[in-house]
Amino acid sequence: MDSLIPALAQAVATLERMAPNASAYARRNAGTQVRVDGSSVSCTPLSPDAGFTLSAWTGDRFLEVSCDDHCVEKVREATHRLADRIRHSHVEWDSRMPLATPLDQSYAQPLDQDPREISAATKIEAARALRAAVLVAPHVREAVGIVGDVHADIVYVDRTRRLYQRLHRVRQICMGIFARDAHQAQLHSGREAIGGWNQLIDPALVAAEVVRDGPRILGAPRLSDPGEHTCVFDGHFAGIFAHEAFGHGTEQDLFLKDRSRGAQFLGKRVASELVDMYDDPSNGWAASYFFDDEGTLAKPTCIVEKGILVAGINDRHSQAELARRGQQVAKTANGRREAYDHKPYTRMTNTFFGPGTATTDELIRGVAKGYLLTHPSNGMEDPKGWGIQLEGSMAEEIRDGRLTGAVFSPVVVTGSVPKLLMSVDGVGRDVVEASLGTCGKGYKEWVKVTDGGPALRLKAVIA
Amino acid sequence: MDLRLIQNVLSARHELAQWQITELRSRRHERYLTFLKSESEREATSVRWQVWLALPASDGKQGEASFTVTPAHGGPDLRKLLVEAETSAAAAPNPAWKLPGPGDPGSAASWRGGVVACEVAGGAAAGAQMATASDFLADQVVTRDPGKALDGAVATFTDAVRAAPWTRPSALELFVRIEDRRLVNYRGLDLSERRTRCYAEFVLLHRPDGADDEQEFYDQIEAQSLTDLHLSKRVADAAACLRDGAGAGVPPAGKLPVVISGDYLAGLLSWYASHADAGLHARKIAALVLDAPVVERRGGDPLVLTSDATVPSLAAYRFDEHGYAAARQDLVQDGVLAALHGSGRWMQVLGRVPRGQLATLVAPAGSTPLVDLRKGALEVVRFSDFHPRHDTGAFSGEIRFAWWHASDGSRRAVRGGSVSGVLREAMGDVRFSRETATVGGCSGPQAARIVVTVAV
Repeated sequence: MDSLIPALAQAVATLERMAPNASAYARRNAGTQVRVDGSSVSCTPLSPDAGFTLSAWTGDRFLEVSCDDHCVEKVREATHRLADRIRHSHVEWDSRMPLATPLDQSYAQPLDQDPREISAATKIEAARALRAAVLVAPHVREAVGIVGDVHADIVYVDRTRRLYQRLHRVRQICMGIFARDAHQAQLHSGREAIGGWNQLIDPALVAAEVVRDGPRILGAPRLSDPGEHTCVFDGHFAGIFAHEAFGHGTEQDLFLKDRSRGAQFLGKRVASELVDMYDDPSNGWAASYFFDDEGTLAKPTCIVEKGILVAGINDRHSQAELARRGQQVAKTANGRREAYDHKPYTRMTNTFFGPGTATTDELIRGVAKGYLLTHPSNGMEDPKGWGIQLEGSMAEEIRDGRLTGAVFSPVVVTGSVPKLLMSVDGVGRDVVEASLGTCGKGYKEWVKVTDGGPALRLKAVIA
Repeated sequence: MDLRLIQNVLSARHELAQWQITELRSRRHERYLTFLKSESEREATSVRWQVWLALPASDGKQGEASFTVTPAHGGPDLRKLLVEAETSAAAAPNPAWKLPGPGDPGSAASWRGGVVACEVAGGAAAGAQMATASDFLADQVVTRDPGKALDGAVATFTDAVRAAPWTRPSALELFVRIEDRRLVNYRGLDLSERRTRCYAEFVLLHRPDGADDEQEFYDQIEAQSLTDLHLSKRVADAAACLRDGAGAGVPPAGKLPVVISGDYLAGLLSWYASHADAGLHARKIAALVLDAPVVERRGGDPLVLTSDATVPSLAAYRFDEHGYAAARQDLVQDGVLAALHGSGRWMQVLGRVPRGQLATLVAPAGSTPLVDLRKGALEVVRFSDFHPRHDTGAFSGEIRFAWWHASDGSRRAVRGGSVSGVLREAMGDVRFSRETATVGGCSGPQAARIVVTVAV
């Protein structure tokens, strides 16, 4: 992949004779997914998803051409095609995008044991072991074990930067399908981690929550008293809350479209003073990288500090356009593409609440009547209206500071983001990573993310 | 790299008992506008070949594997992928099944100039049926000149927005995609189809008189043709919601009649189709039982669902992933699961004749006019997110925008709170609208009225 850099640099130089800015992005994904259930086994290479995009900023708009080949000849063809489109476009030379400091660098995530060297039979055995770890649970009708490895080679080139990174991660996922009488329920758990095959952990640990909680949600009713309750979100549920609340709410490409109320709240209180929140593509969690898809080096962003909304996240265009409008915001490394042939948007990476001082037990002890929410499944944001929807598989009743064992499933949280955040009156001390996430922009453009946090105690409308 | 090279390499591998190649060529054109000003224009082309192969069967089991070839792969890469796939296949024994060949029951015949003769088990579907629908997968306006077609759609959007001057058009994303699919297998099947997919996503803004904050209305639509996006109507409806929704309050709480439509209704109906899948039944993890009721019916309209690949929608096709022809299959009859759909693989495992994978999900119109369904009901226009859980059919959604219709015909806008329920109960007294619509992969009633919990 890095051998393509000279050709891409040549393309950038050619295009910058015709437009104020040009850049090139190339990516090749590889990896394997192994899936085992009671009726079938598969060991499938991931779709290669390999190609490059040439991008030109005319001072007025972006023009991009993508091609699914990596040969020099195709780069030349794409350059000619894009040059032709620039020729037919209005160009404003005095509207250049700012350039980063020069850098020519290669990066690679650690890979002690390369999964590409592991045999299919060994991978299938690993997936079978995961499945077997779930099959020990009561009432389990079927179980699925999945192991996988993902490798991405990424190149970014513009006038000042020639960057190359190799990213690697492995995943373990298990799912149990539980059945009793006419009732059925599914629950999954898993993890992803940066690195090689040696990052896989004991299947029993991966499956532990499924084995414990799958039978408990089987046949569980929905809440009988929907409405506002004191809730404790476990670390995973807090993570999806962070992501949907002021992850999406501070994506600054939405600021440009007047689609985010967060734009008016920078520097203002949006949460209880116990709340800190971050997005960090450099913290080593599973969505980490060295530079984003626009060549900006990864670094942490503190989004909420002691309840104050202090910063947003951005891509190159949104940061430059906000600056042009007189709003200076720090450049962050959040310009990401779903694939080599998709547009870059402002996207989250690893998004999480910072730690407090309480244990989860202490948070529960402070609840007279409420629920512990666990096993989040999905969520949806509303950056303009600040509404939120979070769904999970399990709400466990709390009475007089203790879990009663009564379980309800599924559960949905709705309400106003600042109202929820302002009600936080307890923050746990242990930050956990929910590493299996993917995130859409609206309802498409899926990218790898993680989220996480400590347990939170707050008031929420649940049903 | 090309199809013939891959075909030749696979044909020469005597270790293989079966193989299939699916060639996918696509061309995408995209426009992104912010406040009606172009922000980005993109073009992307791609071609890939998906290869599936199987080793000889033994004791009812066969090793299978699949991989994808791209133009970036060379001949040595292909041979390496093939060796790896054979190794994977040897380690992955699965129930044996066989790809269809020309003339097999249910398989599609090669398409020649717009007429497909499709035979289905139990009788032949008329070639004329498919001939009539020979262009039903592709929008000719898009295939002729996708860039010009997009420009036309942008103009349509712009006109529609100008007709609603109380709104500001925040963002528009418009995509068209032309996809050519060709399937060849070791038995001589050679099938082709061309289809188009069109996608629009837009956001309108409106600041009600005297209000501090603007409201937004987000909408997204996907269809086979630009015309079927109905952009003018969608923009007009969105603008009306913004104008009439000023000062929206919270909905009433409790067990209430709720009218669900569009994508949300399609999602509810699709849950039944997903649990009529032969793959789930073969694995014994389907939530529905063949020949058993799928709803606790207390009244209302009967639930009837059919899969029909010849009815235009995003799920229509000429031939499915293994080359079985477009066909019609009655899945749910009068609230009872009557038949399964599924890939050739899982249908064979269950000992059934393959009749094509799930296609357009068709439901008959109800008997109640939409205007009557709305009386005394909460009509949800936008949820934050709304789909039933795969395992239980339980569903929940935050209300982004809804109308509360009083019995006297008046209505007021509401936001916030949630709708939740469980399909098996909620559909027990469902009433479907007389009006119909095609949404995504579903063709059926425009709306349904169900009684579910509204929490605030």
